[in-house]
Amino acid sequence: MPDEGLARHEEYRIELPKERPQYPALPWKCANATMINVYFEVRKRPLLERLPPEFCRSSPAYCRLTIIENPDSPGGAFRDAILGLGSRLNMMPAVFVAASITDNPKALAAGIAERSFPSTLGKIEFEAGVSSARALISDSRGPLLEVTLPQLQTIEPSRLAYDHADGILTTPDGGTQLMVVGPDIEITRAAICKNGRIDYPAERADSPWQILDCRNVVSAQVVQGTREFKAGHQPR
Amino acid sequence: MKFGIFYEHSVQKPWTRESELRAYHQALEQIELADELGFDQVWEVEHHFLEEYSHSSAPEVFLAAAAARTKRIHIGQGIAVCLPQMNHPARIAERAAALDLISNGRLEFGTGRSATWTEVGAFGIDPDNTKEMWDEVIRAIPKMWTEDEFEWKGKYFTMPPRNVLPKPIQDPHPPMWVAVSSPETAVQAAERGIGMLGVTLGTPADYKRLVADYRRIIKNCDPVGKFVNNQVNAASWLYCGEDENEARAVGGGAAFNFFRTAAHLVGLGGIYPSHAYTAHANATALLSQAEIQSLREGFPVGTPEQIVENLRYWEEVGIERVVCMINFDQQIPHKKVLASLERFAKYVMPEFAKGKGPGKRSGQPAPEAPPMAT
Repeated sequence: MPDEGLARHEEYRIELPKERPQYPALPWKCANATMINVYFEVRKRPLLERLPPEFCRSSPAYCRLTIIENPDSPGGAFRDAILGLGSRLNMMPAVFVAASITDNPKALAAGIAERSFPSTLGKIEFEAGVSSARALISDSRGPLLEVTLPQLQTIEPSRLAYDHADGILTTPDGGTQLMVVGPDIEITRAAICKNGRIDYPAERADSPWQILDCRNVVSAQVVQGTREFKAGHQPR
Repeated sequence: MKFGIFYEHSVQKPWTRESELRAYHQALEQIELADELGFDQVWEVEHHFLEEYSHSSAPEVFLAAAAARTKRIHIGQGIAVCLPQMNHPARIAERAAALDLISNGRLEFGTGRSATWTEVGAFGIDPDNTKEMWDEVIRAIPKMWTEDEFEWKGKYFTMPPRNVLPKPIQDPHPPMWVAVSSPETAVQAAERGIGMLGVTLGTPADYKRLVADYRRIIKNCDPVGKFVNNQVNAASWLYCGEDENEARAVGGGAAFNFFRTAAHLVGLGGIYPSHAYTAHANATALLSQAEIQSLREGFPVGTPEQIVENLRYWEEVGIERVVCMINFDQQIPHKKVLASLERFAKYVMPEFAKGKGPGKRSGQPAPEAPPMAT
């Protein structure tokens, strides 16, 4: 029997603010979005401890790190990052979002209320050119994780396919609900990096971004396209 | 039509100290019986680090034990992973030749390149190059077996002049095969004049197009070995039950377990975009419910009469041999596996020894092939 997740839904419950910040209705169409995506191997145990019981871990245990720059959206320019746990839901590939950060309060409010990701406000440095890319993710206490993709090679966008990302939504009554957010970027340009790196500039032993530390980078990509920042739905 | 069996050495959790021991030794006992009953091939996979799914990382060792316990059944390496960083080509040739000697010339030599990140990533192999690596290695190995002074300067390995020893007893060398899970590889097998070792647990319809392409192209092949092996094997499950209900419950359960365990393996294409692997191709195809349902066509699980009917489908698409997994995950009690093999040999094999059957079970053509799962 494949290993099932050990986390309780309650661990992902978020204290919702009494007054919900206003934000434009989802979905947001984000033109000219650029995404850095990195798959990396992690140890089994910390992944299982953060995975809800509906999910099973895959073999090998891996995470998906996604950082997106959205220069233009109804909610204003924003950057967001998710740390997804590679897994299986009903035997099909899935990613469960264990942590996420954005630098935009409207995106934060929409993300928590409708996308089910456990977001916090933070800072994301993001640079992506033709030949290289880099991103640094920080929260209010300082830097968490840095991605460096020093050499990019252009590939056909059709070689890429991304799984849906799932999260635990905190409902207005304080309950929890598993939600699914489908793949949300239409790729028009893509590149891969074969020597990508993840570094941890400062030790933050209590943060999931570092507890699920990279043991081996599997692959890294930079893609451009139109993103649809959309609400999640219950699993079908 | 002929029949074989194959093993993944799956070991389901919870594990005890004896779990792997039991899997290996029960398999050896089953192979002894299969030999006595007239099954003509046994195949053993090579996988690394695939928890539960396959604890079979040293197939040559296991197959040597199988060869020593048997007299007639052919011994299939299914497959040797032909990636120099995982297995040096000279070591592959040496071990295969030794196995051919131990088995008195019964070796069937299967080749392949692995399909999971768990395996390829562990050895630092660039997934983009595995097909090229395989192609280079399968051209070198027959030379190692037949030349007294083998020398190689290739893209993926080089070797100064050496006599690779021992030499196989089969003259000029054992039949060569490749694991086929996609239409592309079926064509490549045919172009190289090597046998098509179906490893996708699909339906006869899945195989229909592959076999047709293979048969057409191999007529004009440029063989990598010293002779052409134009045989086609298909892979399936086997459980020949006491009655329909028992067969479905026992054999069907084992089949479902296979999908459940396989679904948790990360195929290379799923997390490593590569021209060499299809995007989201998992180690074993993730099948939809509809596809699982369609597996009942040609699925040799049932009573002897039902199995004869279902195997006729395979015969019609030109499959010469169906090689069956007989106990995935050790879910079926060992005694039931032995009884299933005996029933199959007693009631099913004689029907195929008579030659081709009257036709499809319902007089309908076999269903058209859906897009092939890889």
